[in-house]
Amino acid sequence: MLEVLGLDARASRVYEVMVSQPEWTVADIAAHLAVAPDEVRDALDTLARKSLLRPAEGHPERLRAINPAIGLSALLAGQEAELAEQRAQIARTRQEAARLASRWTATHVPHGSVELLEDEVELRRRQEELTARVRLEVLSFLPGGAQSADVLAVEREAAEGCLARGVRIREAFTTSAMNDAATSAHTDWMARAGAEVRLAPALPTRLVVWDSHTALVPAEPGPGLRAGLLLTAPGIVTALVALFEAVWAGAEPVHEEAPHDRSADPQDLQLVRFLRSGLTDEAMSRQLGVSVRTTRRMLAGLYARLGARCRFEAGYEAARRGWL
Amino acid sequence: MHSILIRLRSPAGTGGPAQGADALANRFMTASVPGVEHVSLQPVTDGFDGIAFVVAPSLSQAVRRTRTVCETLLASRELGDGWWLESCQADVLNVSGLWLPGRAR
Repeated sequence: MLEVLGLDARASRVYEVMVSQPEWTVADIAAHLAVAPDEVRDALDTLARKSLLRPAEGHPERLRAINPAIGLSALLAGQEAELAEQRAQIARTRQEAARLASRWTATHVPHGSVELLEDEVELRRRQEELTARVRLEVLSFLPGGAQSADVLAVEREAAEGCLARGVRIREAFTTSAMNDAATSAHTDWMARAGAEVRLAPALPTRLVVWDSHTALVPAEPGPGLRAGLLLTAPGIVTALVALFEAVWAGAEPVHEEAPHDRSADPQDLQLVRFLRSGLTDEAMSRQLGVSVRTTRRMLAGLYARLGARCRFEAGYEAARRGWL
Repeated sequence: MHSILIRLRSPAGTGGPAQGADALANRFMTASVPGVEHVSLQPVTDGFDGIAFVVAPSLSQAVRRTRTVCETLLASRELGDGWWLESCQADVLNVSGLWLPGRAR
């Protein structure tokens, strides 16, 4: 331990014995430590130099004694000064690192991430997580004709949970998929349950998009999804949603799309009636007896439940669901 | 062993010690006073500063033995005329064993 004070190992050991066994001679210490007496003497010279003596103030050529009552604290003082300087240096380094990190953050806008899911089990687990957390809408392409029983089972289970929470589901299959009895039965079930299902002659890729913020595409080209890329970069996800909408617009409903089965609550219906009447936010707030801010928050909630981004889309969706 | 600071001074204007520190340290250890185990001296401009390592029943006795050796050397004029003992006191090395890790005396 005393090495930190600048004493070498031998001097430290000699010093410990010297103060703990004050009656021992140099020969006793040498025997105890199994070293030669001259080595003990060298250690004593080291201890004497170490200071135990200090240059006197104003007389650097002279040495002064240190009060024994101060003990090792006098020796520690020098070490503490060095430690304080090291701490100050670390603090300066930390400040500089924080400054650089701040500059880096300011110049690097986050662009989302790409997560490679190589394992089918992990892929399934992540899909289940995202589906469990989705709030507004799930979009998906299922290309490749007939779907396997496993895929259909997973789709059905996910759809049941989402539809029960009022989440909108839009799924596109290829027209040829309807030649498969199991896939056709699945689309029938989905439509009856409240999902929107359409058919397109061809689909560009397997795709799932959750709430327009996370997208899953195959890691390799092909209709299957044994490994996937989970994307959250807004630019990429927006492009994939646009691709979906373009294909969706040209696809045919597998059946006449049934109105969404989520029933509106009285507040939603009241807000929709206000929207149909063309009331402003201020006028609505007066009618409702709440602040304009509260009215806007209620409207935002309505838009979210309808999966709409503006009044027009909200009106369209409300009409489609038979709320008007 | 106890460590005792000693400070020997030469008369003003004599220019410091005439003999080496090792030779003087050797004279300390060969003096006929029991218990002086080792002496480490450093020459300074007007004398010697150093530490004597002394075995004695107590620290105060170690100081007395060291002082006896110093006064004997001064009286013998081996260092020269006018030398004097400026200081002979316990040194900081005499800390309690309690200061040391794993020691509780």
